[in-house]
Amino acid sequence: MTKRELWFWLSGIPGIGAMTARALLKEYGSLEELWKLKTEIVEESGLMNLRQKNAFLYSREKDAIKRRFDEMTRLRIEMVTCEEDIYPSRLKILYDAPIVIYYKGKLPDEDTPTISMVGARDCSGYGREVALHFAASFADAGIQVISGLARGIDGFSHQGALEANGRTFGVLGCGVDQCYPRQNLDLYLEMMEKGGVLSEMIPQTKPLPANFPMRNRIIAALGDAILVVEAREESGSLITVDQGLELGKDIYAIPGRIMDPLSAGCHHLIRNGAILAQSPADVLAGFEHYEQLTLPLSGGKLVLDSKEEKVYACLDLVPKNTQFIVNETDLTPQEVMECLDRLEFRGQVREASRGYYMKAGLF
Amino acid sequence: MYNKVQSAVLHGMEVHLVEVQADISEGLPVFDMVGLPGSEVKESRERVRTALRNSGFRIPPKRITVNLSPADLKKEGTAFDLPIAAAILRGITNIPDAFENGIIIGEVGLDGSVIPVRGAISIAKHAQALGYCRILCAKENAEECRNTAKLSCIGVSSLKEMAAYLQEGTLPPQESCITEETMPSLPDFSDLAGLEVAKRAAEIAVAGRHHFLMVGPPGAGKTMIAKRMMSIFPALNDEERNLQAELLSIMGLPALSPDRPFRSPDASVTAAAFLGGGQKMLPGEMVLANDGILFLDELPSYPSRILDLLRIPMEEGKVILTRKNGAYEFPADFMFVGAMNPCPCGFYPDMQRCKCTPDQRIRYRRRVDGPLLDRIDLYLSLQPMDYEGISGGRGCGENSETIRGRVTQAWERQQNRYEKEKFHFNARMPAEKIPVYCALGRTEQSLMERYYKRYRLSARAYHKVLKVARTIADLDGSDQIRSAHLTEAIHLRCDDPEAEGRLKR
Repeated sequence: MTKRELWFWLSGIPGIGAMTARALLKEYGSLEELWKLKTEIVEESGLMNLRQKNAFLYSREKDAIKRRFDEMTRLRIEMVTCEEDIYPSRLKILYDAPIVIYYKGKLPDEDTPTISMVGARDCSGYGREVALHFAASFADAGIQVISGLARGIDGFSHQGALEANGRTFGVLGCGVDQCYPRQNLDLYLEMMEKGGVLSEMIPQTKPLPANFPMRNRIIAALGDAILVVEAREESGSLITVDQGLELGKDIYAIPGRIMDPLSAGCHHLIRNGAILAQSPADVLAGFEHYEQLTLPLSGGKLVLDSKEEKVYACLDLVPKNTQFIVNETDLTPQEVMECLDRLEFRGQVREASRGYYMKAGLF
Repeated sequence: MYNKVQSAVLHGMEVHLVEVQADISEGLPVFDMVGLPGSEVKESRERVRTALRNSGFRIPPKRITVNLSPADLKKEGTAFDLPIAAAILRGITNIPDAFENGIIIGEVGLDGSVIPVRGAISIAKHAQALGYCRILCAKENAEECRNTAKLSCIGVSSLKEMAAYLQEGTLPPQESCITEETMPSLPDFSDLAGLEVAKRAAEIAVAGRHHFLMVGPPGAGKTMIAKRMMSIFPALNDEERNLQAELLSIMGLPALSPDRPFRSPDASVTAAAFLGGGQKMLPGEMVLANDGILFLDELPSYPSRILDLLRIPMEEGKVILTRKNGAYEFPADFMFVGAMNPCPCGFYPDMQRCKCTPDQRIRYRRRVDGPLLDRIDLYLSLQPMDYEGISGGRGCGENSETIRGRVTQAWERQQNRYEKEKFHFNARMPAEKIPVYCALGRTEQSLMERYYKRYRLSARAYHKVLKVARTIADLDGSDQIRSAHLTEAIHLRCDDPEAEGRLKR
């Protein structure tokens, strides 16, 4: 057994997390000794419970481990252990830092400013626009975007960064050979080219609910700051924020409308001292100590004809039905459709869902 | 002594001639019936014998044999009572008129009264086509036949009247039936102010007979729009009216002055009631909606096996039922109108009220599957009704008569253009004819290319947009499809269900 294979073995024992693994290594000296540990000693160990002990004993099958290790290499899944130099230094501040990180693509750059973006899975059209816009601005400014590759805000954050040709990394709650949720398959594949996906779970781990809080601490640790785009009052995103606070990260939150339950979590954070992020510049201000930061240009001025002006004036970041615009203006349905078509073609308006339109990309 | 009378039997919409032969000869007094009679036909023996006696005819104590020829064709229904009675009457009285160039159908009651039967119009039409010039049937049947077929229809109300007619040629008093050209009073589109987009979409749908899907929250007015669509249809023309009368007559429903049908079977409809069939081979809801609207409210609540049945009729305009004794074809050229909520709770995309997860939403939308959406040309997204809409604060909108005027013009344009074609409406245009009738200029071509890329249209969706644009141009009175027509068509396009999922990653 090589050293890497031993790390692979230790990280893959079901029920033994980073904490237990580190405690075992400390108690029994080294990986090799842990591998050769006598059954009686394992049974008497106070560091593991009965299930963990059984899993530990059962896992020491040389052939099976070698087979899975080779399979991983064949799938071009990279692995970095906490002993190696390329292990992300940002993770070292975690008291339960992962002993091994598996990844496809690249690892986040150590010296580049990095932000973690989190938010609701069932986000609103507003959240979608904000996530796309902020992520794209960060990418333009040379900031790496970290998120969880989930539905909703996570996906749009990655997408925004990719569309601006930025680097973005997804932290998974399953093995990096799995794509969860399936809808994000195209994102998952694109990120492997232009960034990376990483996980502390051994390949083939299923996306179990218990894995996600563990994933969140990695997201919190990897970013220099955390931006919450949209979150309900009792959102999982707030767990990431708590973990980030323990690590001393800056927390930014994007405000919403006061009656919008999807922004209640963000408002709660702002009330408790998170920094209000009204535009990407508010966040970029916190990254001033990075020298290579390039600040984005502000958008050009809109030129609209009178009908387009009327239509555009009816829209905001909450999707509006075509009929609503017809009722608000004195235009016919046909005129409204033509205006929307032109505005949409120029990227000033977006069809949020069929027949519903909202302003796009301008702040 | 042997006598014969012509009658007919209905199979689906098809008619087969049957010769009813009756022989009265010496022998034991029995009444035999042969020639593959179904159970209703077998019972006709008792009805005819009693009815004849109660009408004052004496049946001699002789051996009576009735044969229905061709003998290998299954005979169902009660229409054979009257021809059997006529054949026997000829044997026991001196009836000079053999009624050779005529057809007799009808059921008799025990008192000798003649009762109408199903499908008289189909039988009359078929008889006419074969060169028969008379049909003798119940008064009610005669009335409905008179409106549609050109042969002389003799209505009788009792066996005595029939005997009198056959013996002496005395025609029983025939009531001429008056069909008044009155538009039924339908709810009007002027009730709906503040729904201009929906009214416009409904107008386009009817103008080209495009299948139409409405998606919107509860109370957005989907059902109100569907009901009012009937009021902008042009009146039935003669051909359509006759076909509708024939279908109603097959169902045994009043067929005197048919209206354009609006059928809305609920979600508990069975496959047989929807498609047609059963022992009597009756037409189903899709057939009864021929030349009218088939409206399915709350589309996802229909079982998928019912929705799957829609596919072929929506495309081909007919229903074919294949059974062990043959295939039965019915016309089913209906306009499909569907209504559904955007998500299980109905409020999406209002994220403040919608509590559905993206997964629930996608699963709900997928119940209306791709193949069905592929066949729908128009998609309308509705918003919840606002206060002004409910309270009538916007005054009256355009009324149905004005809209019907434009639709009628668009229909006329299509009839003229497709005179030599097999189809009459833009929605039924086959793909190979699209380059002929939906040719685009250079500007329109480049616009369409832009749409094709932006919305990732499939070949099928591309064709649908062009057909809808053709209808909008027809409403506009334009021979050429212009950019504005394409823009409106693309706005109302019907995508695949994944589109919604793709938008919300």
